[in-house]
Amino acid sequence: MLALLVTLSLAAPPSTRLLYEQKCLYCHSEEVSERVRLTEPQWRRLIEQMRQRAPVLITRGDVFTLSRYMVNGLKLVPAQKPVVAVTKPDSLGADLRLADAGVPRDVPLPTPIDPLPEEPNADELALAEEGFALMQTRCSRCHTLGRVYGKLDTLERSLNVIERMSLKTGSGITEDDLRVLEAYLRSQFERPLQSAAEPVGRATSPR
Amino acid sequence: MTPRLVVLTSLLVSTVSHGADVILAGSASLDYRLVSGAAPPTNPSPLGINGMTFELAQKVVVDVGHGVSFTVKACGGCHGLEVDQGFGELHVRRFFNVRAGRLNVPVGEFTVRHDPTNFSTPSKPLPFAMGDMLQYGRSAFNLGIVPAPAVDNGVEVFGSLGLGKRVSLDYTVSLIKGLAGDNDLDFARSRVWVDNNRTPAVAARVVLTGPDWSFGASGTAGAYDAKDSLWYAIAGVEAYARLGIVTLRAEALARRTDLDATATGYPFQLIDAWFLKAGWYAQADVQLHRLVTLVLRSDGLHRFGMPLPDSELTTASAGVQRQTVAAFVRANDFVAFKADYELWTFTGTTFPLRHVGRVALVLGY
Ligand code: HEC
Ligand code: HEC
Repeated sequence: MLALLVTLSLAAPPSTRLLYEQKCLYCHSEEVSERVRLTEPQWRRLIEQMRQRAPVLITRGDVFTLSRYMVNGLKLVPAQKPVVAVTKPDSLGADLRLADAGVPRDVPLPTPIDPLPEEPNADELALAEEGFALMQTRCSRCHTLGRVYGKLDTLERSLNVIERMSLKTGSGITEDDLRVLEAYLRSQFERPLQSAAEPVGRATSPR
Repeated sequence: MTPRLVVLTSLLVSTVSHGADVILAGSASLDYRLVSGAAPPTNPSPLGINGMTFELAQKVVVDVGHGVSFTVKACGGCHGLEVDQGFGELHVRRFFNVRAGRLNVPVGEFTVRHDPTNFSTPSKPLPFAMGDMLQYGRSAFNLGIVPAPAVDNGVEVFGSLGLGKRVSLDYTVSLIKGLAGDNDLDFARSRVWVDNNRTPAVAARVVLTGPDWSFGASGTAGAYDAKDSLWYAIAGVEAYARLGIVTLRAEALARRTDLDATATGYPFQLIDAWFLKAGWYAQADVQLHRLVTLVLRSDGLHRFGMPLPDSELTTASAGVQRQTVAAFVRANDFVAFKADYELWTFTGTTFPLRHVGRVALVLGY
């Protein structure tokens, strides 16, 4: 059965696996991101909370791609779902324990009253893809990206940083690049969530 | 708190409360090297453990708006606590901007990446090496060409001229205090805040760059002794290219430095009162995995001309070459390990071949 689960998770498209590693293992290990079992809407809410901590890293579109991956690829769904119920009996207990609030955490488990993020349209997805890819290449020329995402946590700060970096001699960041990056940043920070006036998770951000 | 600290803190607090944007960044690195053979050369250690060094840096960038920002970066290492950067920056147009204060001198590309979090090998390339170089002392090679970080007081204009959609020509031109010393440069004295002479120095860097490549040239020149009579001039070229998972970088630099003709103790008769140092590196970084990069580097440094009085170098042509294989492994985006093997060979000197292994732990945020 374990073999089946492994096969299933390996069967997920490798690009989604990479996306998961790149985006979800940026701040913590698998142990943290895989320690809860949630339904897809719950994953969407939780990943939206994660996105609020690093909106330039996790795009609005990623929230959907990754919550599907958590459910269909990694099978991190509540124990009563058949796929987990067929694992060993003691791991069923463990799953139930993980799913309740007993696990030490500083992120409240998403509750049904949290707003469900809205799926971006095709234009927004295309811009996010272009902007994120541009950031990956342009911003990794003189330093790793590690120090970048965590710092770009407000729109104003992010705009200041990309302008300052683009003017470093030999940056390779042209005015055209700046325009794309700016549009990307605006799309990730500005579009208001369905009903969340206050970004979720902000209050608990480690700062 | 001293009055000065109170003023500084309240300034910072008041800028913050006026909505200025503050970015903090920092890094710490701990480095250990093991050198093969009998009587291995030592290096300065702030820990008192031979072969072990650490560097620490903390930086604050305050963006006050209207294109104005202030940067202060303090760092500590073998030379005690220093101000690596401390400048105000004004963005006017893409092609014309101004920076003034304590600057990183625009010579070479590596100087931009001198923070240990920003380069992948445990050691710096030889043209930019300091105490981490074997035989770095004044009685041997007396450091590289332009030891990084190259820090100086002054003012610079910089900008970027767009040449089409994807190519630009970037420049920096600086007027600085200049390097200091007597009968060859002294990098510790070069970092003193007050100039030792009355001649300012100039430095400039020009880079033609596309999205995945660049070519550049840079240089600096000035008088270095207290009497404004001995000069140095540095010139260098640089290239960068990224092809998929491979990043290639290469630089070559040379420095001509006047010798003091009135000094005594030269090993032979002084005819040309100057020497030339040339240094280079070529490096390939191959990103094998999201977290693992393999690095291959070949670098060297050669000195042509009269050895300094009392030098262990006894010929007018002496050099060092190094071949390096390194791994840069990131545990996550804030913690990285570096490890390498270096083969050091010397020419025109009696220094023996050395095998060197290095490990470094680098933290950055
Ligand atoms: C910007 C940093 C950051 C990123 C990126 C991030 N997380 Fe988190 N995540 C946190 C922090 C902080 C915590 C709380 C710390 C802890 O509990 O160890 C956390 C906790 C979690 C938890 C445990 C929640 C709980 O209540 O136990 C899960 C699950 C999780 N993250 C999943 C993800 C997924 C999936 C992604 C990718 C979409 C992701 N994280 C990306 C910062 C981040
Ligand atoms: C030309 C080289 C270069 C490029 C390209 C570059 N940076 Fe930087 N970046 C630097 C240098 C140099 C520093 C300061 C390092 C130091 O403190 O020594 C830095 C520092 C930073 C910092 C830390 C705060 C600060 O200002 O020191 C952030 C955040 C950052 N860069 C983001 C970015 C982003 C985002 C991009 C892409 C838009 C980018 N960088 C592209 C050279 C570059």
